Amino acid sequence: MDRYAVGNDAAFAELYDLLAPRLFAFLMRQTGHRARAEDLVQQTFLQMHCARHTYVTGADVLPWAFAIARRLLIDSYRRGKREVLVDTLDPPAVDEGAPDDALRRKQAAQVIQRTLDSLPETQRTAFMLIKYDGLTFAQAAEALGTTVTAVKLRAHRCYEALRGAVGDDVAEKGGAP
Amino acid sequence: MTRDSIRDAILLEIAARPARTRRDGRRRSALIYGSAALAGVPLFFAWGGFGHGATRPLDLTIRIALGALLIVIACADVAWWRNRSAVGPPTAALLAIAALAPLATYAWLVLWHNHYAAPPARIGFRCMAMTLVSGGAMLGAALHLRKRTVVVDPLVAGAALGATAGAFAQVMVDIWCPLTNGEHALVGHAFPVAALAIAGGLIGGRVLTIRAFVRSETRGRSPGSLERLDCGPPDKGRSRD
Repeated sequence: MDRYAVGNDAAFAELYDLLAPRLFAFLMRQTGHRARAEDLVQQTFLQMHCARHTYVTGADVLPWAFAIARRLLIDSYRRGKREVLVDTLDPPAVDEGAPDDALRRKQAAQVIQRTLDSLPETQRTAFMLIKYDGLTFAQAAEALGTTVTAVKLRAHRCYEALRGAVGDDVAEKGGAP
Repeated sequence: MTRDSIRDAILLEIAARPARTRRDGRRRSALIYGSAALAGVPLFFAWGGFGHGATRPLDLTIRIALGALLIVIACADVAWWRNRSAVGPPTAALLAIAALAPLATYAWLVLWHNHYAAPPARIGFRCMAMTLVSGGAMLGAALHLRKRTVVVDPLVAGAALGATAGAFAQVMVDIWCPLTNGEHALVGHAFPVAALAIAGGLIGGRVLTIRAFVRSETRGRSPGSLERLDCGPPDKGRSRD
């Protein structure tokens, strides 16, 4: 990003290849809609391009990119563009050899998704940035505009909620929590 | 994974949309901030310049102005300069700057009350006006230069910028104004800093936030392309829709 910020336009393709898969995965999880995620990835890169002169020398590009993507996502929701989303995610690869296991895994995934949806956006995003997108606590804190301690707390609360929900669900079905 | 076609589309968009480099940005910032910093100077000299505060001992005036300078450096270190982060400081730090800058301004001035024979107290409308003109110009410059670039909490970022701009104006006002009594410090000095913080928050919440580029089909341009925004260098050949 440093090379790109000083005018080396060829560096953008490298930057894209480095960041696009991670941004797309993040936005796909947040929207559950391939076309919207692709559009937001495009918008994120355009914003980075237009604001390249504001990029601080030596700064970590990952929190910046994720912060832009998140802001655009929030902006798109605020503008009332939230549609009835059709889940276009590819079905997860499941070992067909064990139907009971597959069913349990599917049920657990549904419980996790429901629980995540019920949590505040700040907790959910902190958890996802760390667990799914591989950001460090410091990077996630920077992307969310908060402190490392606050991010740890949010992710921990989210984790506890998930553990409680999955445990309760298993207990309701007669299994060990 | 994103498709190759998406990659090509983005690279085409980027190629068609020249953007400022860091060097362009620095030159532009120096010009705009430099001009804004001088906005209050005509008022300073029109209302008596250095002679207006001559009733206060010079060493006290220098100390008070240096204290105000330290306040603005502390504020700018958090709110203005991003240090090693492209995103900026945490929201809590920005909020603290917006809240503490007016308080620090007030406390620092009142601290010097009774250390010298002060002239008769006045309400402080001219101090207020000078702060609003000088600080307002700096705030306007900051909002203009950072338009659509703040990615986390633009409202709070705007408030912190406003408070810092007000603190910046205080350096000049403290050289000019010989009064440090409580009522005057509150109305003439602390209040306009707080007002600039509020204005920065209100305006910043609207102008600093990044927004998605609007698809051209909604604006009658060629389908698929995105609107052109102010992201290019100020070269002569740049086209604008």
